[in-house]
Amino acid sequence: MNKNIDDSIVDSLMDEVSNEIQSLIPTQNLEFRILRSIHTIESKPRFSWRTAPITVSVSIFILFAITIYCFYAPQSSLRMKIIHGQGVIHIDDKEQIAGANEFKLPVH
Amino acid sequence: METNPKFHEETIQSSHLSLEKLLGAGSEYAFRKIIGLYQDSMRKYVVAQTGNIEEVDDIVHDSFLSLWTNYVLKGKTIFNVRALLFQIARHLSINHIRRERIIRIFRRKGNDAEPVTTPCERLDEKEKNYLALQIFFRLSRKDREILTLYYIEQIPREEIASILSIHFEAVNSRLRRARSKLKTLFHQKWSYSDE
Repeated sequence: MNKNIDDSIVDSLMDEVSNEIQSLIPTQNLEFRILRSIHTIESKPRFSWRTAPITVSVSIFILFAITIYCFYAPQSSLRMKIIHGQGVIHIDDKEQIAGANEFKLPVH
Repeated sequence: METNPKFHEETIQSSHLSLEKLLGAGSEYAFRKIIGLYQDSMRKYVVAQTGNIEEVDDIVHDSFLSLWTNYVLKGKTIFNVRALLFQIARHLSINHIRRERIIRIFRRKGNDAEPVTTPCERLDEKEKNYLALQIFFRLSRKDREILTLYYIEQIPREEIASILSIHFEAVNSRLRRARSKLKTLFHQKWSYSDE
């Protein structure tokens, strides 16, 4: 009998707790806010491990192509800048090439 | 994400698939339906856990967002969406409580002028009239959690065990303990108010 009374106390107390919490919590619908957030997340580009190998190989290829272009393209302005910037002798200079040829292949 | 939700709505209404299966297939309509079904019960659960009314919407919002990004978008199988949502909300609430505790410790160390109060104390000060809540918040977080899930949300014990990641027997013993603590607190309060 006593146990039943105690159980009913707990039941009614928890009912009261539920009502009091219900009266405290905000009532606005969260649906719009949540859907806006998921749309924002989905519109952002995400990194994916599936496409990572392709991304990395394409990046390496582009870098390699730029390097080749810089050092081997004739009359490339980028090449001139890079070579001069690094303090390397400009091998395209006609006078130097001529001098080098004379040094390597002396005329008999 | 579907391009035509209306079409999807009709398909869902005519189908006999469960919300879990539809959600697993990435249905936004099913997701919206789940938000409508569980947002209020999630709010109650989070308030009972944290005692924080100001941030309850943020935690519930993050729980739904986590469900979408970590389960729906990744195509993971969902067996019981309610249990999963409560699990996520539980973890987020525990993180929130820990963060608040750390902030309190730093404030104490820094001798901040702002008074240091727990969420439960704040709730007590704010809501003096809520007598049942005053008794309820004297319980520990674990006791409040089990009582909320069983009495307020009326979730079966098997599901509570999966939400809390504990054994079925542990649910029973925890529930018994929480109930007896609540009864003791109630009698104490009753005797004080009589005096």
